[in-house]
Amino acid sequence: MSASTKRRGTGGKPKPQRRGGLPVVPIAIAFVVLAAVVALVLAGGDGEVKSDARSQYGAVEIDGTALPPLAGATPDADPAVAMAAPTLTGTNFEGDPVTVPSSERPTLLVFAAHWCPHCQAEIPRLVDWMAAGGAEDVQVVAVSTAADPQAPNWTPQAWLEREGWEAPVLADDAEGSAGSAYGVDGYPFFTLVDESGTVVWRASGEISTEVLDAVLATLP
Amino acid sequence: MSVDVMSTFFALLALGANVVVLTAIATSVVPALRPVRGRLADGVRGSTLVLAAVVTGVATAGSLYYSEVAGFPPCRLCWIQRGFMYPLFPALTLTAWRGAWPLRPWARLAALLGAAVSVWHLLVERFPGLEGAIACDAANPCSLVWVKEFGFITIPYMAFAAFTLVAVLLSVRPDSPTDARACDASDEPSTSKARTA
Repeated sequence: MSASTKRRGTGGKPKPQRRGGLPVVPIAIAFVVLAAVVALVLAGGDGEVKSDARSQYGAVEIDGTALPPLAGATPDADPAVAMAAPTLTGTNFEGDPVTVPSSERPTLLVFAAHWCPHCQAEIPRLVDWMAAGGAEDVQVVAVSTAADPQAPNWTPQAWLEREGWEAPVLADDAEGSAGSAYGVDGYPFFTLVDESGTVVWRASGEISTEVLDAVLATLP
Repeated sequence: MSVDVMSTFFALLALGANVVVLTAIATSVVPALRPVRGRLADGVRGSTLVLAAVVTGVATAGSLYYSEVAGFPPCRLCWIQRGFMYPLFPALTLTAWRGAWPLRPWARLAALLGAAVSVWHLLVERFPGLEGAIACDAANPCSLVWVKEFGFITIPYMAFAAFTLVAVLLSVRPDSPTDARACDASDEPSTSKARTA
């Protein structure tokens, strides 16, 4: 009881009552309990099953020497340029065999992680670029790597389908072996390999289609 | 308990914190709401340190839950926010218990700095290019959105809600009415008298 309240109670004249504080602490406790109940109701149940986890990975066979990491080097100073690209043999999300790079024409490998916001920005750009005929002379292959069922935008298959990706896809294994074999150290990661299997160009990060056009123009 | 349930729970707490903070701001800015401000302040006066300690404790526990139970690795900006939040929990708890340290202004400053980092983290989530890179660090980029509840509540949003709530709680004067002018016409001008009685 406050001092001002104590002063009341004597005298016959009714006096204005001093307002007490709102019961904030009990309200806060009640809110926390209510939040817990609502959370259980809204998100409870058996929990979301991260389905299709296994199909988002694929066994990858690597033939050849692993490329060194790009490690921030500019494409001009990339130690992997002119090296023989390792051949990756694996499957897509449906289990169909996929082998990259192609021996018939240049191959642009795009290593992408479903959770990566830069990959999420790059893939639609590439889809539009391919639809506009930008990749007519090159085989574009997406390598789904670093897949993580706990990470956002799961599954990579649903993501690529949603973005309208129609080019071949190679599903990397859970250890990211394909990415490691190509020296991937960031996402998205590009590697252009000519038809003889030699690395022509690598880059890490979002790339504009103008840059891709310029790089492809250097191919013989 | 699934990560989804816990995330929904934390998101609801964050919304509750938003309501408190927005109410505090509204009752400070709008003169007609000042009596409400006084009553709210009276309701928590004397408990603000305990409440702030509880908020930082829940935020710390939530942060550790995400990294150690859910398996979401904290990014660089997460660590900076942890640097502001984690020390507040024992400091506020000890201060609430012993009541000896003049911690309040420093804790409020730490909470506001933490909130500023949270805002930057939210911007990085929304505009990944702000991270100063065009590629995702293969390890753990700050732009990675691990949790998104109700379409907008992410982990740094939760941190922002906690930091701002702590700052508001620590802005309530512990030993006197928030503002004598907050009393409306029907109140006795008794608050200052009571204090001196």
